[in-house]
Amino acid sequence: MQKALDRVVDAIDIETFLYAADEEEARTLAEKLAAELNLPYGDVVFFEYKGMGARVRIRSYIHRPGDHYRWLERESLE
Amino acid sequence: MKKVLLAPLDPVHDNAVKLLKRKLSEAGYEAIAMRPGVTSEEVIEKALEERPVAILVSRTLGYKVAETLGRLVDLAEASGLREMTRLGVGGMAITKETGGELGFDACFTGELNMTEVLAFLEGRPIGLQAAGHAVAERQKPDIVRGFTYEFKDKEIEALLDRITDQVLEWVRGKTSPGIERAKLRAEMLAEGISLRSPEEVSPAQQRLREQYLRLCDDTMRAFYLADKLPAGVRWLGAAEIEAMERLLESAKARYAPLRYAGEKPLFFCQYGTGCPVMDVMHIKAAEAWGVDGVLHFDPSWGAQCEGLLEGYLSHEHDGTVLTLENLQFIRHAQEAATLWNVRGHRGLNTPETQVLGHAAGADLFKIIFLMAARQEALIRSG
Repeated sequence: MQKALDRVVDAIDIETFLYAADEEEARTLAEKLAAELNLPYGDVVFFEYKGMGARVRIRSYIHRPGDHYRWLERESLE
Repeated sequence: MKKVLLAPLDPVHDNAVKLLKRKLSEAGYEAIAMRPGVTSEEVIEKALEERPVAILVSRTLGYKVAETLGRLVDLAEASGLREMTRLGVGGMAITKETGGELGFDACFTGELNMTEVLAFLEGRPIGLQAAGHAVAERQKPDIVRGFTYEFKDKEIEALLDRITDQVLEWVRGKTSPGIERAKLRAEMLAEGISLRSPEEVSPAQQRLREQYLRLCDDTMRAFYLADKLPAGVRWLGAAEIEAMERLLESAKARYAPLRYAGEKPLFFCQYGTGCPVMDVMHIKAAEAWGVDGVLHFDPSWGAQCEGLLEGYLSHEHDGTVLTLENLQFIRHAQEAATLWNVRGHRGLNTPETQVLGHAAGADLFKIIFLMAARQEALIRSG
């Protein structure tokens, strides 16, 4: 059976709260998180630092426009 | 906020009414729920007080169904309520035949189907699917119905007419490579040829091609004369296009309308990922959620090059490549009721974009006319 990840049409958003001492550290952590999860192309699309840390949304493109989409391969369609 | 009166004409059962009240509130209606065991007289009295757009009654128990519901309909008639309020009925004891015979405007059977209920409240037609679930029939909206060019303020109308006349006078006799290419493209479409079509063409048709290429920049000439694609662009393979056809065939959209009251506003979703296959996936998702239309968006280098490409092409950056084949592929994937707007992004190919959009079956165009005209003028003046 095909992997669930192959059925992601375009992107995965990870939304979380990162504990961080300041805004700069929170940004660094947000950028590192996608790489630590082995997700490609992590873009921070939302960031708001307040109090103890930052609420962040990181968008990772599993299939970018112009790719060969795995969800379009024969196995997905059968 | 429109009111709906919910009445369980049943001694004890009011679960459906509670659920309906919540769903209608979420849909933006003021849903007034009466208690179980309420009489027909009390329902009519409450309706005359609240003036709802509809009364929805439910009945679970099977005895005295006709008498109870029939009395409600008779009282609604006698009180004059039916001139402004429509009557709907549902519940375990109700069949389509019962509701129709008793004179209700709508009859809901089986599980609660909000699409059906909202279609009734909004005055839209209700159809039937093969599976027996009622769904709203989807019609392509007529976006200009009820509008004219007439202005209430005649002074503003006169000023706008003057501005329009000045613009038309200013552009009279002017042209640009973009306008000339659009004319040539229209001629090629009429002749049934393109720049890359392999069949033999007549000398006159060959001249159209040569004239078009003379008006293109180096990027476009390299594409047509040396098979060189612009950076970030690739051909879509036949296997990808066929796979997408199979995917579309296997997944038919079931709509959940976004709009809960009246015919306006219309909801549009803009796409333009760069890849027509990805665009189609986005369009299908948007259609399933109930959008009325989609907007084709091409803000990329295509607006800055002299000339347009041909064929099924994918692009790895924002802005789906404007070709007749890409546009036809996208149109073919849309539901018949979806409004399609091809945006002529201001730039060097605005006129030809309209020609291609029209040929591919676009319903609407968005052109920033003054900006485009100004830009053309700047090009001409160097």
